[in-house]
Amino acid sequence: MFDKKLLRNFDTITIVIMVSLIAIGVVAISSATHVAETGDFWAVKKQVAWFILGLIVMGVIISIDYNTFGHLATYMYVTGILLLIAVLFVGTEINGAKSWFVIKGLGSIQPSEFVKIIVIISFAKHIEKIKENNDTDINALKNLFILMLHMMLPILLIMKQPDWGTAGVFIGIMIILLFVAGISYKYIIAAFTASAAIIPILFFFVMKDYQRERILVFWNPNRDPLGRGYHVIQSKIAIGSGQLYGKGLFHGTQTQLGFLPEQHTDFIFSVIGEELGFIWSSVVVLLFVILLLRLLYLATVAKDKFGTYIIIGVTAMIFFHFLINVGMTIGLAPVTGIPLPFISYGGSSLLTNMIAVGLVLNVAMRRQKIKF
Amino acid sequence: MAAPNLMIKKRVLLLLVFFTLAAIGLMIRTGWWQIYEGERLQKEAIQQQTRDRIINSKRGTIFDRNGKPLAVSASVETVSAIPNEIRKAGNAEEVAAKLSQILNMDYEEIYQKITKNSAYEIVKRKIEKKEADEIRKLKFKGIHLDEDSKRYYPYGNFASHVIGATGFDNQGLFGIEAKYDKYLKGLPGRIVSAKDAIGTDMPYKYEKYINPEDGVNVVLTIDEVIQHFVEKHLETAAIENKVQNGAAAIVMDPKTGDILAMAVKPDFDLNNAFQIQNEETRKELEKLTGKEFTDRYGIELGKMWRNKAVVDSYEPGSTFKIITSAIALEENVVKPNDMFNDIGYVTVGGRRIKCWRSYNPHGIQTFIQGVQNSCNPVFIEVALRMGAEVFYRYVKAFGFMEKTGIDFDGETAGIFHKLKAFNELELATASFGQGFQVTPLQMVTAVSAVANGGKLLKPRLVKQFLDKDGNVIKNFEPEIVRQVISPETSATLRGILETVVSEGTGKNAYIKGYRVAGKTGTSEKLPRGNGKYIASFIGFAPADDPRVVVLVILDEPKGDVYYGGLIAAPVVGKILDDTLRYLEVEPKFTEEELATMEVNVPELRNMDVKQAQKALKDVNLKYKIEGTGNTIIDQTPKPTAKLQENSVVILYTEGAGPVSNVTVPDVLKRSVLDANKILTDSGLNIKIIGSGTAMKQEPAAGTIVSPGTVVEVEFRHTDVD
Repeated sequence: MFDKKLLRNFDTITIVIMVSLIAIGVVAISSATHVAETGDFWAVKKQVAWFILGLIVMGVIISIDYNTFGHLATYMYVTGILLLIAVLFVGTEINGAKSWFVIKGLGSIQPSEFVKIIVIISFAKHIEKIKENNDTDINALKNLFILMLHMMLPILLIMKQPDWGTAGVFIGIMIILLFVAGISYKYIIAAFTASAAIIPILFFFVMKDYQRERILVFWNPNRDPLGRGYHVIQSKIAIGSGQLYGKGLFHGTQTQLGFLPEQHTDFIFSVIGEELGFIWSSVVVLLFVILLLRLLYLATVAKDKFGTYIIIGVTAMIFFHFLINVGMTIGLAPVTGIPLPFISYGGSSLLTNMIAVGLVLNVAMRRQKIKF
Repeated sequence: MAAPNLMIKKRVLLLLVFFTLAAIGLMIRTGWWQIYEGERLQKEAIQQQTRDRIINSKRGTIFDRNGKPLAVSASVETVSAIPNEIRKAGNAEEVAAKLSQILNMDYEEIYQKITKNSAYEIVKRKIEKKEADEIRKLKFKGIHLDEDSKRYYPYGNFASHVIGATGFDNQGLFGIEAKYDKYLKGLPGRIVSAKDAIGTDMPYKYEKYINPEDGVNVVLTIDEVIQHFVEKHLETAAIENKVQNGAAAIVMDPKTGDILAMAVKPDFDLNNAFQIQNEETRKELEKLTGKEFTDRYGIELGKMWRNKAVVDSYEPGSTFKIITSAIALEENVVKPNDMFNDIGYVTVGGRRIKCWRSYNPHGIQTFIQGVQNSCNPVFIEVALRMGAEVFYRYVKAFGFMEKTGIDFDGETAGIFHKLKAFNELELATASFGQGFQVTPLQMVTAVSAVANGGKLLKPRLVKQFLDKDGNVIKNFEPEIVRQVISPETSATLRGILETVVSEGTGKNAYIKGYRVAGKTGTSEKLPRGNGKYIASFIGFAPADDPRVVVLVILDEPKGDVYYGGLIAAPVVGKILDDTLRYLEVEPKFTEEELATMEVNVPELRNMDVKQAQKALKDVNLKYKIEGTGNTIIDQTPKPTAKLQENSVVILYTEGAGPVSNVTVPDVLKRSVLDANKILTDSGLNIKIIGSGTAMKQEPAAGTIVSPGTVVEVEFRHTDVD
């Protein structure tokens, strides 16, 4: 089944960038878990283990033609939804969200991470199917409605956990996929107009006080510097105090003295900013930009639209994680608790992102139209 | 299945633009925090990550000019708590119990402090080393001991207004302590240590110890011995004359401007500088509460701490005639022997100005006699001869229109007329020291210029700065402000002023063996007619080569008399007497003085009669023997008492019968000769203080004493102003 010729189109650029990001991540994680002080490499070891597992899974994924996944899309989708339902019942609550399965001895697994991949595949397949006959069928209201339903089901389940960050990423994936699929600009304009109208109404009339407060704190963290504003304030201090060159690896005082919260997971970018300065935080941003642009390129060379949609979905997923996570550390996005792809500590996240890259490679490798 | 079409490519291109812009946005925002706001955030980071504890530096010592310590700092410690660490250790109750026992403090109070929601709390300041050691032994987590220092003033009430006191943070509040606070306090050290997000100290992560730098030692120009003389005599005078508004005295070295002594009464104990000394005021304060109390307490403290000698101004009265004379002689409008005729008043600008002795006009007199008599019309006459402008110029040159520039906070400049409004009438009254105000310090400084050959000096209280090993860091050199009058005028005037004491209204400042020059002054406080006076005397000695200038001011005496010549002059005399002897200025006695020399009574007990007789003869004392034995058992007066030559010492031998005691007779209002005779006739001895008429005797008339007892009699001249 695995054709050696496929390797000709193996995209090294993507792999190199991904590994670079993971490497930076491991270094940052070692600092964030105070390796210098404790000598305990637990997090680094676990992350590397997940990376190796990720490589294996990528290998498996690459060797299976993505269209096979396309055929299995419906089953995968149903499995995903069932997992999301299950987590609401038997899941464990961590940081206020019931998003985790805790398996003794193995650690914790976040199903919504993997469901992102499943939904990207099923949604891509769904769009492809709709557009099978006519390219413009996507703009039929009925089709749009079904597509929305397709997406809203997992989103609603994730919101129920509640995990607003991941839900937001799903919405982002949906919008970008619909956009690339050719949804008419008039829908786009209508959607924007509607949100512009709805947001103030939501803010003033629908939201509860505590929800409103969250947004106000996002706007001005000093409203609640020791409470909801604490994360952002400390993150800003960490990043800012790193200045141009940083305080040196393992020498970030915000990180080492524990002022920075969630430093090896959600706020890993702040660790990089503090210890390695503007130079390396820019390197990270640039690596993401190169990765995203490379993925966009690969999307345009896929041999079929299903492949294009898969890559676009993965790109959108990585982009929104990157945007929301980095935005959150510098006060541009509300604190929602989603990880920075490849860099944040966390098996589910790393594995998911590696699977996603595997899928992209899968599509890219098979871009050559078969010539006889 | 179709490959991506053009539409998709266009939209992907748009995505590409969108992603890139978003990433650029993130980068700009990151750069904003890291580069534009970086330094501010770096500071914020350090601020929240470090705990700063101050280690107080040791405050410098204040010495008198001969190196006697007047203000010293002793090491003590301050106990502080870091509530977070105590919370972690979980033994707040135990800590509070132990500390309350050691520090003798309320358990609740300590418990509140060490469990308070704060980063750092001071439990108690300035505890002694012994208590600190006890606490140290307990090794409580979260309880820290930091070095601190406490100020002690070995002499208590001594020179309190000059030295000043320090507050709870060892900061100088007034006086030299405040003026040179910057130097005395040194540089506090710091312990900066890292703390984690919970507030626990992480000294192993980061700790920096910055050593405190000890303060500079300040050497005053004050001479502790002279200051003691001044304090003693001024205190006595203030009490005897019931001064209502305080008393002040300054002793200055006219050659250098050094303030050798500066005293203000009533005073207070520097070791207890926050306690109001006046009992009535204290009682009134006790009745007040809240803001009323704090306001009033602040005012009263300010009053108590106020250095009258530098801050308060007064009408100088006749003492200012020294200045008028100096100007007149310098400007040559009068010669010492010019003749004047006092008819008891002068008419100036249509107004009649009386002499203080208008009831008995001085009549025909020379200028010298006019000064001796302190005759107002004489001074009005010479002032009118020189004119307002000249007078004004000199008053200014003598430094009366500006601060002297002494190194002391709160100095005032006095109040003088504006030149425009300084007409003949004002000039006339100003000539004898009325209608304007000067500070005591200005007066002493100006008279020093008169005494030292005409140089106005900047008065100074600090001689040098020393480091902790006694090396000189800085010397303050005498500063001449300007030459005001010529050395010749100065010499002439010194001679005239000497006659004021030897023959004129200043006789009560006379002391044996020294040539004292000076001038009396009595001014009625405004509004006139309310019976409130300021009595003063300013003098210097020796007149031919002045070593010290002394000013004594008694503000609102409420005794029988209020004339400066009567109550202030003797104080100056006593101060000069003690000071000149201490400074080892060789006394030169006149024949007359030699005739009334005092001798020390020798130890005669256990001698045989012959030996005793010889011993007494050697010192020109007479004797009277009681009893028939051959060995002296007892004597009156006892040894080392001082007696006039030819006084009688009573010697007791074996077999002396019961001694018939003597009743002390009344000698008040008698002349020296009369008093001497009356006492001697009663079998008593006399100690003569001053000259003139007897004003005071001790023991009082009617007291029963043994024969030979010394009766101290103070004489004063009453023909003074």
